[in-house]
Amino acid sequence: MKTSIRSVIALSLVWAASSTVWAHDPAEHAKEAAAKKAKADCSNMQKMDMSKMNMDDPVMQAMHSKCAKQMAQKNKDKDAKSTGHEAMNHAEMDHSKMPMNDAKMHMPESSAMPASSAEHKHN
Amino acid sequence: MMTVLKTLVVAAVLAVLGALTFLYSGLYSIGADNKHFKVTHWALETLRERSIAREIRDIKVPRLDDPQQLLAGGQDYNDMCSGCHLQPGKTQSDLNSAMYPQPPNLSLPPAKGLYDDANARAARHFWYIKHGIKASGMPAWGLTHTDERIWAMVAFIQKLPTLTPEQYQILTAPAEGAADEPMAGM
Repeated sequence: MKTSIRSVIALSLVWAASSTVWAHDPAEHAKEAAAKKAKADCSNMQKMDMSKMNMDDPVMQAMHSKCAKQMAQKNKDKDAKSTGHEAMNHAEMDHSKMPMNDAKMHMPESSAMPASSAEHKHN
Repeated sequence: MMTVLKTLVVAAVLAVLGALTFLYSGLYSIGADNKHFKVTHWALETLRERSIAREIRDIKVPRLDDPQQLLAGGQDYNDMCSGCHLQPGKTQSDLNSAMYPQPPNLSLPPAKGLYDDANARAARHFWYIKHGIKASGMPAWGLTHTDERIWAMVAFIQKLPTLTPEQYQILTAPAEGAADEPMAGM
């Protein structure tokens, strides 16, 4: 009896060990799939010391090309925040009544108009 | 003389019958987890290398330093190749560990020896990608991809061993769509 109990325990341990040796978490596959769809992480480029880089290197040029849009968007967001422009609802504004000379009315070159401003007109 | 010829013919017939018997017996273990004998491995490797050396003789390698090639080839590599051939910072995958022959890790520098010439290396990669390799799991991507697209992958593979994981992520990430363009429709 004792021998058979020991055998059962030993076999159970062997079975448990064998089923975990090669198995990995299936969630790893989801992680990999998500990583493939992720946007370019250009934050690392921004930390790089450009003066030490060889800008003739096609790898550097390709990275700049890929990250240019993200960096430009970041600059736009910075500009919009600094002028308060992003919070405006342009569709409801009458620009003809606005002093366009005022520095506050100046649209930064890089700013993006919100979708709600589709019908607004500039004089 | 006739006796020698008869003996040779009988031996050849017996050899063919023996081979057919072996084929139909099912005794050979076809599992990918059952490695070849060393001599079999040597024979298959030599067959492959000599075949490819002849095939790539007339391949003209174009310029492979266009940044747009790296971006296009990088995305394709990430989608189609990295599962087997890995990427910077990754030393194994399910596919890479389980396939036989094991796919080479293309994120590592090539071993010194046969492929020291960059042009020859590029030609080989082009040929591998376009035609695949029989019974190895390496697909013939040329059936569904243009030469231009394959050369873009070759350009990327040439640079791959020099990339950090961060550079790899940037180069292979999907391009941002037109919907991201500001002032669209204005």
